[in-house]
Formats: sequence, structure tokens, C-alpha cells
Amino acid sequence: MKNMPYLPHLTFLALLVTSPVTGQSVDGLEDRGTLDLRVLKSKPDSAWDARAVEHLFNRAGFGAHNLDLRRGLRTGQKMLVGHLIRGEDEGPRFVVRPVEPDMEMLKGGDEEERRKERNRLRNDNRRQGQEFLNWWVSRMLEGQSPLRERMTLFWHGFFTSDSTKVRLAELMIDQNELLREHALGNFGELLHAVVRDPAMLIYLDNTSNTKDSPNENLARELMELFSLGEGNYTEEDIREVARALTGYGIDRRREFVFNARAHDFTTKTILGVEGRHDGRDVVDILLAQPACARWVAGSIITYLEGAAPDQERLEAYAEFLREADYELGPMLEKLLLDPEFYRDEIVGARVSSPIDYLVGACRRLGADVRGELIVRGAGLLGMSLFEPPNVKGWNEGPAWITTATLMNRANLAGVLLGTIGAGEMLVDPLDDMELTEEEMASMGPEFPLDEAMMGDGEMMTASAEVEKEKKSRNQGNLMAKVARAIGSGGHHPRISLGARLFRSGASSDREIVEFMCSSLLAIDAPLETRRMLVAALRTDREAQGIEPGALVKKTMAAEQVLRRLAHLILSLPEAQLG
Amino acid sequence: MTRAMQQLLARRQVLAGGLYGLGGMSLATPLAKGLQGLSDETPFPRSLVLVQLSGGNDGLSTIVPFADDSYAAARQATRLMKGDVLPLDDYRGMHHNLKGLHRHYEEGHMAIIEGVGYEEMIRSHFRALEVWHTGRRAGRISGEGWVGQLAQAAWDTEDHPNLVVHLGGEVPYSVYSTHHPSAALQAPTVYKWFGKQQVELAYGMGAARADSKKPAEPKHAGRDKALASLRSVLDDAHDSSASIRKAAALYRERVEYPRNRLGGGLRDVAALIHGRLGTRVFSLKMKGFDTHAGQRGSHDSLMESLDTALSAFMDDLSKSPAGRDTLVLVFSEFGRRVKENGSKGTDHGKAGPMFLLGSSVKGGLYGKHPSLEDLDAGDLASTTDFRSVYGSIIEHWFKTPHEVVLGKKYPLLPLLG
Repeated sequence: MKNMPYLPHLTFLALLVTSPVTGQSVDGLEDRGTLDLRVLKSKPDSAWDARAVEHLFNRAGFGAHNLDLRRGLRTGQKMLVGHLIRGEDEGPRFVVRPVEPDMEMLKGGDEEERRKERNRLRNDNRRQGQEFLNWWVSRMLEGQSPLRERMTLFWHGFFTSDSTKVRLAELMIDQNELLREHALGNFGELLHAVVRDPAMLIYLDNTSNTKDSPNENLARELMELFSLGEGNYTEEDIREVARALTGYGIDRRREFVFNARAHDFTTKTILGVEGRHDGRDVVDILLAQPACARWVAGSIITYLEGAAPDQERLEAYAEFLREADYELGPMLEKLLLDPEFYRDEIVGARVSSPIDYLVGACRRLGADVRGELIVRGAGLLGMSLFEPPNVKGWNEGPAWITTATLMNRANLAGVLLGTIGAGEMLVDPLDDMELTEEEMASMGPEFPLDEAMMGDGEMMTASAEVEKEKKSRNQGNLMAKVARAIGSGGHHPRISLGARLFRSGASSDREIVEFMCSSLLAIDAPLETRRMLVAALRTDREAQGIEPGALVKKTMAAEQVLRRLAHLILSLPEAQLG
Repeated sequence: MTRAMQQLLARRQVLAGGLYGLGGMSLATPLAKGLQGLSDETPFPRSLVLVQLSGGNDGLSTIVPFADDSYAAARQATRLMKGDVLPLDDYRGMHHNLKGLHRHYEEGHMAIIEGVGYEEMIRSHFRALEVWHTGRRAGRISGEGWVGQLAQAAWDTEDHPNLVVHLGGEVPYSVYSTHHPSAALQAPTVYKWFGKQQVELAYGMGAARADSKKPAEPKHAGRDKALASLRSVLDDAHDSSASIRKAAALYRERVEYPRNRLGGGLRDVAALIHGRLGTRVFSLKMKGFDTHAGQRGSHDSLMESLDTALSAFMDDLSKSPAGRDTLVLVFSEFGRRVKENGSKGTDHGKAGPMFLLGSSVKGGLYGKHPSLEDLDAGDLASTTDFRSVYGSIIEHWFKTPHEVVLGKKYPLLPLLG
């Protein structure tokens, strides 16, 4: 994969013109619009404005660069949505290399050789899983087929499997490709395929579901999470479905196999339908339930809108999906063209997932990053791909934000911008405490400071004890993995905010803030926030001795000021929404 | 600090109502209060430390019924003999690696509650955890976590970000609350903004709050609602980061903690307690108890880590007045199958023991050891409801009606002296 995911194409640069600023308030900050694209509407009264385009890119893709907005406005809503729905699956494929054990070494060799071979298998397997996730993230970054990747991520949280249980990365990869293939296709076909998916059969223990000792794990989740939702079946239905799924397992080549000897061929009654059902019959019975279309439509709408639809709208979509024979494309098209999808309570009101936050930031920055940095970073923020917290997948929305993840999102933005280095992530526990002398003096005997502190509040850092502590605390923690992904050389993003600024024509502090907010945020920033940013930018600029209007001169110092501003913008509550 | 920055800060404090100063150390923070006026004699607020053994701890290898013939018959590779245990009486003993805990038990500061569970126990990890985390059989759909409900019932007026603190990765549902969201951190050392973000953010948010008082544009209704709650997390992060890092850096432990995760986490808990941050509930997790295969070696070392970490914490606190005001509750989502499986491990089971530690605890055995013959589908049947344990702590320790938190009344245990 190339590491240059999203650089503006030169022919589009000419289009990036500055539009006149209108509707200024007293301090020169506009009340609603921003400096560049957003005030350019296709038609003055059209609902298809930059805000709508950006909303569509946020939800149906992974965020928009200014150039995407420009193109989206010109293309028009219908064509753009049509393009997203087609979801042409282009770009280089990931080629799976089977991790095969060397049986000679594993069986014949001495203990040392066997250990070596086991380690090799473990490492190859882990590496392949990691490489695949890097590939996946790079597809999100490059935006070749945004809605397909968006829905693949949705289905990964819907039909969860966990690599720590499945263990074989190859099977997780196959499952992900299956989800990608059907992401915009037919839900019925997808559900049929998932019931025969090796990773799923392992993850939900169906490999040990036999007629003599049935295992209900897959049966339960198939109804509760994959098709009907709680309350639309009985415990008896679960037992019957489990019997119908007996013998669905995998063979030595890790492929799906129907093991007739383990299958229960007797009659079952599932949701009132009697017959000698197998897995295929089960899925057909589930698909025929009105609850199924309701569950699937509701889950998709809730995911993309960030809020559950009201009853009336849900019924309309469920009926539409059922009539369309579970074809997802038409339903998604209807949704993305629905004015309700663009209503004020929805636009800019969803807390972005870690993947949305990181991928979106990179796309808007036009930053080139290693996929691994995003995969690890998302893990640090609570979203490890291939390792959902449980079979229900991730809790979307406000649950993403804790005190720690809010700070770590900002820190990762700093890493992406190169304003934070790997060394800082593995910070010394005792540095950067800001204590006044009075504070130190006020510490009672409970805090014997004299040994631990010296000078102006800097804590002593040299002791071997501290070093040891630092190491043990950082070991295995996700921050350390992020730091490793950054690498010892640090992350040096190939971006020039100065050059972008120059092209935009912005030069005053106010114009720079307007431009950066419109470029880096997925939503419109409120006036009070932009005011605060202007003050912060002025302070930093003056501290660096840079004259007003001189930030567009492409000096190192100016670029640093701009990157710090970008870092601050991406640390804001506003940057968590999309 | 540059002069410009100082000016910025001065303005920020006016705008933000002087809520916090640089690095969060204004007079308003609980830590500062602690440092200024409080002596060693000032009582600490009562607190509870929750330790979750994730994966389902094998109770039979923790509190071992070595004298039970059915135990001997059911276990081979995982069986502990009389000589392998620290005896509690002539029927049961503690795992041989629980030396420190055994000492605390002998000293009367450890309650062991046997056969804990609930009706119709669940063998799925996450569903079982939902029950433990909400105190309700229905799990998450019943509402917020039990600690969240406790916070609302007992400390609704104590509005500060460190009321409930989770140390570690994924935040357990037990502390989930919309009114009192927990602070969450991996380690105090990295619980911060790198760079000078916090200064500007705090400044800006003060200003933003002042400005956003004016009626919102309908167009931005959704955004502004979401922003309001994110800004409050930002405030919490700002205060919490400064106070927690400071408390952790300044704390001098009185004993050496083991260099394992739980040890590190409990050391931080001790630091936060002594930093007087006003935290009422701490939450920690220890992973690795899902021992389906080759259990003996891994469980032995889990027991050692658990023991060294917990007893270091207990020893540390016993040397401080805070020891009287701190309880530690150890639980796991389920015990394991009585009969060993084919791979020298054990599968998911049902009832298991809980521990309650602290110098205010009335030590000893509680509940009833479940029968190893009269099984519930191959598992130990529960003899004590875990909500009786929660309820006793809620009622007797936090002086709050337990049915308010747990939804109904449970028989309480005399766990506290």
C-alpha cells in the first residue's frame, strides 16, 4: 500500500477560491458561515448545501476533505448518493497467506524446534491480522468506496466475532471480506452466509453444537442480535434453533462443513413453523418474520443517524426493506435522500467513534499516516477492530467519551500532526507537575517531598526506581503500542498547513481560524468557540514573535503555530462530533 | 510561562468564574483543601474498592474444600491437596499462594462469603457481568450500573469528577451513570493532555459556556445539546487529570507493591485516597481467570499476583488512618464447573466465593459452602445472593437504603464490625 492516502489532486486546486465574507458580527467573526466553501450553495435556497454534503460524508463515509465538499456540491445529491450506493469495490486487494504449520518440525523435531515453530505460527498469524487491519483502515482513509467500508464496519459490529477467541486471523479476514462483499447487497444472503461462516461458528461455539450436547450460543445470538431482537422469540425457540444448527462446523481445512452425524434430523418447531429444519430453514423462517426487517432497518438507521427512528418512520423503512426482498441498496438510498436524515437534531450531533475521529482527522488534514497508527490509536480509545467488547459489538455514541479518552483523542491528534512525539507518550510519571512552593510547603508529613522533589517543582527523575516503575506501568498498555506504532523516529506527517492556508487566501488570525475550523471539523463550530481560537492563535503567534498576517509565510515557526492550532481544534468537544 | 499566556489565563479565570487555576490547583479542588486545612486526624470519606476477577475465577481452587471426597473425585490436574492449602478449618483452606490474605484473615480483617451467586445463574461472561454490574437479573436493559445508582442515591450533591474512578482499560458497566460519570484512566502518568492544550481548552470552555447561555439556533439544536455534555466531560477531565496525577506523584507508599497490574492500580488507589480526592468508589479489573486449559500453572500465578497486590494495599492502608475508612470487595462473574474438563482446565460454572477486606470488616466465613454433590447442572448452586453482599455494604457502610440502589430488599449480612 502507498502511504499517501489523500492528497488533493492538482486540477482541483484552482477551484479552492476564497469567497467573500458576509454577515460579519462586531468582532469580524461570521455568525454562521465560514470563509471558504460553506457559503457556496449550489442554489441559494437548496437544502443541498455544504452542511448537508458534509453530513452525508460524515455518516455514509469517513469524513470529507474540502475538495470532497466542493465535488459533492457540484455533483448534486442524487448522483452522489447513487455513487455511494453502487460502492464500486476497487483498489488493491488483501491477499491472505495461509499460515501453515510445518508438521515435520511440529511433530518430529526436538522440544526447542517445536517451540520455535509454535512461535513462528503465532507471530505469522498475529502479523497477518495486523496487516489486514492496516489495509482496511487505509481503504477508509483513501475513500474509494466510502459507504461500502462504512457498512462493513457496521456489519463488523453487528455480526461480531472476536479474534482473541477465533484465534486464526485468516478466518477473521475471510469474515470481514464476506461482510464487505454483502455490505450493500442483500441482507438475506448475508445472514445465510454468516450462519456458515467459520469465524462465527467458532466465536459462538457452534463447532461444539451436536445433537447429543446442543450448544445454544449461536442460536440465541442469531435471534437476539442478528435478526429479530429481544422479545420476538421464546426460550423454546432458542432450543429448537440450536437443534437445527447442530452439525454446522468447520473441517480440517478450516472451511464450513455440515457434519451429518452430529446433526439432529428430527422435527423442530421454530416460531410456529414445524419441519425437519436445518440452518438454511432457520434463516428463511427468521427472514419471514416482520420483526426481522424492523430489527435490521432500525439498527442501520440508528447507526447512521446516531439516534433511534420514531415508530412510524421505522415501520415505513421496515416495510420498504421487506418489499425490496431485503436488498440493502434501495433502503440505504431512500435513507440518504430522506430529508429526515438531514434534520437539525441529527446533523453534527453524533459522537464520532474512535475510527471516525482518527480516520476523519487524517482525511481532513490530508495527512499520510500508517494504518497501524490508526488501528492502535483506535484501540487506545476503546475500539480495537477484530476485538469488540462483546457479542453486541461497540456501544456507539456518548459512551465513547470518558475523561481519559477525551484527552487521548487530543493526544493522538497531536501525534498525527507531529506536535507530540513517541517519547512523550511514554512519559515519566513524575514530570510536568506544576506545584508552587507554597503547595509544596503545605504538604504535611504524609507527603515527604524533600526526597522526591527538587528545585522548582520538577520531580527527580533519575532514580532507577522511577525508571523501573515507568517501564512496568507502560508495559503492555495500549499507549505503549501506539508509541511503538509511531516508531523510534517519531511520526513526521507530510502535510503543510501553511501551503493550504496560502492557497485558501486566509491571512488574518480570524480568517485562519475560520479556514482551519471549516477544514478540520466535521461540523460547524459555534461562534464562541471560534472566538476562543482566535484569542489562542493570537497569543501563540505573538509569543513566537510573528507579525499579524505573517503566518502564511511558509516558515518553520509559522507551520508550528498552525499545527498547534490544528491540534487545539482537534482537542475540542466540537471535534468529537460528526 | 509566557506573559501572553499569563494574560490569557487571567482572562480565562474571570470568564470561567475562577473555577480552576493552572494545572487545576486552585483553592476549589478537594486536594487543595486537603493540603491546606486537613490534618491526619480528619476522617477520610468512606470508600469502596471493587476488584473484578475477569473471566470467572475457579472458586474451588481459591477456597479449597480439601477434605471433601467429591472434590477429590471431580478434580485431578487442578486438585489441591491438604498440604497445598493454608487451612481455615478441617474442611477448607486457602490456595497456598494466598499467604498475605491468609494472614489478614487470621487477623480478622477478611470476610470470605462462600457460594455467592443469584437465581438462574448465567454462564456467559458478558451477560453474567451485566448481572453483577447492575445488580439485576435483566442486566443493562434495567438501567444504569449499580455504582452509578449508588452514587445518585448516596452522593447526589457531591458534584465532582473523581467521585467514582475506574483504573484500567474498558470501563465496566457497574460505574455507568449519566449523572455521575466515572473518571477513567489507564495510569495517572498518561492521564493528561500532552502539550499545553488544557490551558487553552479550559479557558475556551469557560468562555464558551458564558456565551452559549444565549438561546440556541434551531439549526444547531442537536449539535449544541451534544456539545453541552462533551464540555462537561472536558471540565471533568481537566480537574480530574490535574488532581489525580498530582496525588499519584506525591504519594509515598508505606510498603512495596508488587510489579503487576493490579499492584500498580491499587497503589494508585492508595494515592488517590491519601490525596483526599473525595473518591467513594474505585474500580479495577484483573484479567486472565478464564482457565479452560492447563489451569494449574496459570491459576497459581494469578493467585500470587492477587495476593501480593491485595495484601500490599491492605498493609499500606493499615499504617494509615484511611485504613478504617476503606473496604475492598473482590468478585468474579461466575465460578467454574465442578468437574474438570478434558484439557486440565475447567469450564464456566456458577457460584463462587467473594472477599471483603478492610480493618472495619468483621472477619470470618459467611454464607454456606455449596454442596459438591447436590449440583445445579454440574455446577455449584448459589447459597448467598451477591446482592446481600452489595446491600450490606450500601446499607451498613454507606448508610443508604439498599433497596433504592438494588431495586428490592435482600437479607443483609453482618459483615462490618
